[in-house]
Amino acid sequence: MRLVADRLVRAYGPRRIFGPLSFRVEPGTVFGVSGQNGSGKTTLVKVLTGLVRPSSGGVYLEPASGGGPRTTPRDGTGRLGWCAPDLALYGELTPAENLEFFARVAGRPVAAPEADRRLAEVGLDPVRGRTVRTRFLSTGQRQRVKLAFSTLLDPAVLFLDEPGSNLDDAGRAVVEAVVARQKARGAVVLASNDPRELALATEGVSL
Amino acid sequence: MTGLSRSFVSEEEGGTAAPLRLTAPPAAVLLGKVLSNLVLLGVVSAFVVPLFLALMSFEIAGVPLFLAVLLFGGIGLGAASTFVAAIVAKTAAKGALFAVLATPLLLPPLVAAVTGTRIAATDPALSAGADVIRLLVAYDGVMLTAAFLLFDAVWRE
Repeated sequence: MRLVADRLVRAYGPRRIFGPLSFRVEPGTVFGVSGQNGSGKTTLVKVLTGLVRPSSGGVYLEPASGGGPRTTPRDGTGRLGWCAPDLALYGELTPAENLEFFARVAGRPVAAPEADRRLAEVGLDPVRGRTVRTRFLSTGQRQRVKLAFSTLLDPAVLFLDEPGSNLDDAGRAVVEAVVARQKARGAVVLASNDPRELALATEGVSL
Repeated sequence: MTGLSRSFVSEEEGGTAAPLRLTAPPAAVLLGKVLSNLVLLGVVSAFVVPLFLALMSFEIAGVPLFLAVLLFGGIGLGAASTFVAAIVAKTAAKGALFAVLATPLLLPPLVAAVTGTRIAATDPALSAGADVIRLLVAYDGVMLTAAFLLFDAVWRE
């Protein structure tokens, strides 16, 4: 799927946060969103995911091969992955239970070994992922769980907002691996201030 | 009622509403919340109703009618409260707004349930409260239908 932003504007009252922005994100590419703190990176990502409605303009998903219906992020669920500081999973569930729960509510249940594999991919010990509640994990480990959640449904477009926050060097390598796997499956939108993360982008916009 | 109003607030405040929006169909979210609130109401009723009857020495002549009023009244109460909870979840004055919006919506089933309970206290025949039961069933149908039709817009805004 190709992500299309068409003259996208978001404003709160008289204050324009960004826009108008128009761009396309093709499968196999990483689209970087950079900018200073408060420049609207997180808001742009939320608008692109459909979590926040744009003030004007539109966001569309269309088949990369052309033809087929053009849809919006709000037309369905499970096609977009999202990892952001605002994202929270259920603290009273273990990481594995969180993955299994969200897969089940999406109508694409995963078996226990698959959930364990997803946790192992982001560097979490599957035994710990089944025995320790998410709220008792460190912030870095919770960030890894968020990364596992973001790719759980094999999304067509993956949105990563400050994906390396709270991660050590090994965690940053996990982010790079997540981006590499997603490029083989679809597109990535990566919002960050970190030059190392932005170096993964092949194109982008600065707010 | 306070517990019912928290059903969506806890998701918004805990940050788990966003992942639910991305993964779960809105109807599934609403159905889950309505069912969990109905279970909560059922458990509370299972303790409170016998306690009330015992402490107030309140005798029920028509037990089937009373149970029907409890069942259909509870469904209406749960459905309306859950939908209003979804509306107020993102607002600043959640508690006050919940009371303001829920009161007019909950008055019809409350009045009908009180009427049905009064009839059940004196008349053993289920048919004596047939009109009340019909009203409660109609209310439940309208409220559940409206909630499922409108929830998509409420949930995504």
